[in-house]
Amino acid sequence: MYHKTKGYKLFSWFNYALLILAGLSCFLPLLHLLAQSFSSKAAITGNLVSFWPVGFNTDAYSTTFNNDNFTGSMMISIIRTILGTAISMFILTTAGYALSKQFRGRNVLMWVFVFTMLFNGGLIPSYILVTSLGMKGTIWALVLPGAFGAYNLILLMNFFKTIPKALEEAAFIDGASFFVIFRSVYLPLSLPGLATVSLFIMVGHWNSWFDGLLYMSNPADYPLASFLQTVVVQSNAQSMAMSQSEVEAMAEQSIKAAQIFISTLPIILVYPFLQRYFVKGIVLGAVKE
Amino acid sequence: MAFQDYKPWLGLTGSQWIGLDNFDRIFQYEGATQAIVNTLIIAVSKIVVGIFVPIVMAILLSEVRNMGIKKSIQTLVYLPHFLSWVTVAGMMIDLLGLDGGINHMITSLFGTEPIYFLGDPSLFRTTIVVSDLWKSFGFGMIVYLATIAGVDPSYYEAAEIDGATRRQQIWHVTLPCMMPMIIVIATLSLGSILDAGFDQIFNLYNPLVYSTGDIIDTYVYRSSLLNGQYGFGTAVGLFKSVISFILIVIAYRLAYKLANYRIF
Amino acid sequence: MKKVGKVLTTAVLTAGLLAGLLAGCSNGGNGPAPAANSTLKDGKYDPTITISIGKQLDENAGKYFEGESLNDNVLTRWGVDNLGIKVETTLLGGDAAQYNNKLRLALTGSEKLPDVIPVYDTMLANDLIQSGRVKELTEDIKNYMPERLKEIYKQYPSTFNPVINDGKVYGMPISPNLTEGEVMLIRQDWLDNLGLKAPTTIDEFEQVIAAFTNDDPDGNNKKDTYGFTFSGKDSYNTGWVSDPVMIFSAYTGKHIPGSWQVDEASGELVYGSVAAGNKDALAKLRDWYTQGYLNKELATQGAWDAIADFAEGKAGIIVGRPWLYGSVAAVETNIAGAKVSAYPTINGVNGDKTYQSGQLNDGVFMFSKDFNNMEAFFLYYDKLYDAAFGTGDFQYGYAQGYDYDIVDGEVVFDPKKFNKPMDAIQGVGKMAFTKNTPAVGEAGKHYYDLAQGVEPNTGPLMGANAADETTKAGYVISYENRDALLPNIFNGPPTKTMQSNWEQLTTMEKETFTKIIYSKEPLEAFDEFVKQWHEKGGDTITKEVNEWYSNASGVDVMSGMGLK
Repeated sequence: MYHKTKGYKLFSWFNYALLILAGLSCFLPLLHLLAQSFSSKAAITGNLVSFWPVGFNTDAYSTTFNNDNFTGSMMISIIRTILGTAISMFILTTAGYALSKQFRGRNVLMWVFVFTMLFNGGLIPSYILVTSLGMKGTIWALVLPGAFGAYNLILLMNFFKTIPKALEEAAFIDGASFFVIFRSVYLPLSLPGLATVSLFIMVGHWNSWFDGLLYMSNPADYPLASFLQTVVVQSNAQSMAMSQSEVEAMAEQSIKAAQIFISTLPIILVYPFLQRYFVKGIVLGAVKE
Repeated sequence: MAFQDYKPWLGLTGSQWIGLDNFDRIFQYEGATQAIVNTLIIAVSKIVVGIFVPIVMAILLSEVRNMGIKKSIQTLVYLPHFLSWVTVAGMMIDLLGLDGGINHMITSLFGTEPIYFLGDPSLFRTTIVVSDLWKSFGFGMIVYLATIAGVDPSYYEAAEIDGATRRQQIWHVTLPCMMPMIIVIATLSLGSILDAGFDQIFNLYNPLVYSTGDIIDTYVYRSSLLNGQYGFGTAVGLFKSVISFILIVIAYRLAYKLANYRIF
Repeated sequence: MKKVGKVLTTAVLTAGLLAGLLAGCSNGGNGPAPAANSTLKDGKYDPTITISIGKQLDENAGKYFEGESLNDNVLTRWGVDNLGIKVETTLLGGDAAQYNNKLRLALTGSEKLPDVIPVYDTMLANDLIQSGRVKELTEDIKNYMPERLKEIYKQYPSTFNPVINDGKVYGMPISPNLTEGEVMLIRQDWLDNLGLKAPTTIDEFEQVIAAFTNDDPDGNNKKDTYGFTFSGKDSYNTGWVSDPVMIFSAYTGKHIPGSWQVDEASGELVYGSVAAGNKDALAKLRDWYTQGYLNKELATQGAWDAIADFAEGKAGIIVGRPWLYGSVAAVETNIAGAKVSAYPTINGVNGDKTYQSGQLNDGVFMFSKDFNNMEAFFLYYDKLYDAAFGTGDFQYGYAQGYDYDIVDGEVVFDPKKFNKPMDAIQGVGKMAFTKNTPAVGEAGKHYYDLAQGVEPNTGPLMGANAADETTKAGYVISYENRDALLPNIFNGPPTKTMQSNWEQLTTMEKETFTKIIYSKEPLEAFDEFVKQWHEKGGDTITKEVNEWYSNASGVDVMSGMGLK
């Protein structure tokens, strides 16, 4: 299809080289973590580990999987992410569809939503709100507060806008209602957009640790990111009061590395699944202009 | 709360109203102007670079013919986004240190003095921006990949028929189709213009680079360690939000007037 | 149809906002706790009473045995079975910063305060006192604190300072005890290879680190070693590891950086970092840095990270608490012939010892106003001290098979030798009220006693005996030099001017010190710093601190509590 000029070939090589370099630079740090998770404590302290384990052992992993807190938190994160994404997507797609049309008061509504994106009350009001609504300590405290994100809403709206109006009009003529059009026309055609936004929301839920620490009183209820925060950050504390026993209780680097690695795994695996939706040409031939 | 001397046990109705005092304090601090300047420089650089690079990378990636390589690179580049700054900072301090890997390479290849990436104030901001770019470009690419995927192939065919080279196709088809989305993302980024990345800077900064690395958020953090003053923290948050809001409104109007495009 | 959905959402959000506003306005009333109907029979409460506590974080997270958890574990069960007291954690921080946040949020009235509240931040302690929600303790301490605990608390009257207000006492320090001081850990093999002895003065120190840097002490013909590693990222007086304070103290004596100490001449408190001697210390450090004797990354690495160079075999000297040896012992495993020895810190230029930060307590206990079971609390608390005294149920440790074991009639502390071998002990003591298990025996006394030939026949002595040689030697040194430990005399809440200016002053301090060492600014910058410090609030703050000091040392609360 493309003219295979010499310039193009050169460009192609350059392109590949650059991209592969970029890919490697992103991958190597994780490889380093992986190597650490399989290495012995002495080797890590002595900084002998680069990309390959030294003093190979799987202790870090067996400890991690036997650790009820870790596996429990992982379950919570999974539940929260699925639940949160489902709820968010439902709200956002319906809202985005409606907002991509014109109707009385639409602009006002839109600016209200933008306002909420920028202004929030801060820690105390949010906390009071969540607690007085009775959500504290339940999974709803993690799922509901962020469900209506204006940023994602705007993204979705713009994806919807790229769908030719002609399609919608044709469907109207055929007697379809708003809902039918939404379900059968807009949703299927904006798959890349849907995939993108749901990925953002999923990642947001998976990585968020602050709300977990704030709203959950029982560590068994922590989502994974909060749990990691206590394990990894705790040992980076600068406090002078670190006593011998606290230092000894600190998780070893190999365990930290294993936990970080395992917690990134699920979300990494999600992306390849969604890549199918980033396919060209869905709108191909639908509109004859 | 921003206008009060808020004490948690007194609550909203009980705490003393102090008008604009909290806002005054923001500017009383000696380094306040410097912190604001740093914040702006770092944030704007991040926004510009953070839009430009992913676009370029997305376009480059879409030109790759080999599906296998394309998919693996796509997955690989978005990995760093998932590591927390605590982890990445630890690695960076190791790697970029005077005795670290990168400096080893530089001194052996070029025979110059090692570069103090994290300790030289003139380099610090660049280090911050570049490392943040590294961490997030893969993820930022995703939106653009989705947009490119949504471009009607008939446009490309039409251009082909008109004799356009690949480069011209990109310039005249791909980019214009991406433009609406680019504008949207750019505008929305204005919402975080005063958020230069607390997590990252907090984990990487040190006394040598306060003059260029201190941002509004790190300053607020340090001073609130001493006094848990919620009123002050809220005032700063409000201040940042107001600025962002003004900027977004301006961008919205500009986009409407110039490109007749309603961002939302 | 779609619009309905959106209107609904907006309505819900608005309603929620309003609800929040209203909630924020009211102060949730805390009903009084139910009156204790329990009676004490034979040292046990019947029916079981519950004491709720707050915890900064769950130190044993992830390490509990099967079937155990934060609120149901070997220690809580012991409490119920033996004392009729159940300890329940109702407020958990997650990490140190969150804990303070949560306590403040609890003050907004949206939730009940736990009965027992450990507080680690002086500002927060002050807030709690101001809120009127914490109990006044003078009577309770007088009536319920057991004698042996009173003997301990008597020795540390200054630790009550943060919780005294208007002559009344609103809290008590958590397990006060003089924590062990820092020692100098040196690569003994390097000293031997170069025929050197451990340094005792600044000049000797300089010779040693110069030799470590230039004379190839590890004998591998590569210039890959240097003398002294420490951290300057957060403070030049870290107080636990990677500490450079002895260099500063060598020139300033008692006026160590970051600390408020009494000036002999005036009898008033002065701030250490602006003492004149610091200029000379900085000049020395600057010279050493330029010649490569120091850790090049001292400004970017935090205290814990700065030990890496020592552990990897690049640095020859590090200052830290005796147990630091355990964390750097990897160097002996990884490098053949490497040996680490402990030595006292060097002496100052005037022949006197160098000083370092001392720590007397880690936080204070405060109690919710509605808590009526102080007697029960002291009963439990006293039992926890059994492990420290080596008496009672906890004479060897808190739980057999967790932090100690009895194998073939012998008490064993090495977890790998337990009947069910483990990699690390379980900190059972931490399952109760506090981060740190109560200890007696200041600054390593147990180790000193052992070195004097005392038989290890109590739990704490046996535990000390089980440590490795270098650590033991370090503790002995720490005990012998315990008079070099100087707790920060100012331990009250930040003063008024501190709240607005202190952050600025400390930032200036860190910047100046660091830039001088790195030769980014001339030595004269120190004088400029001192001038600015005084002008930009330092003088006012010094005045305020001294006002606090005369109030705190003038008031006598100890006799009211029976602690004189």
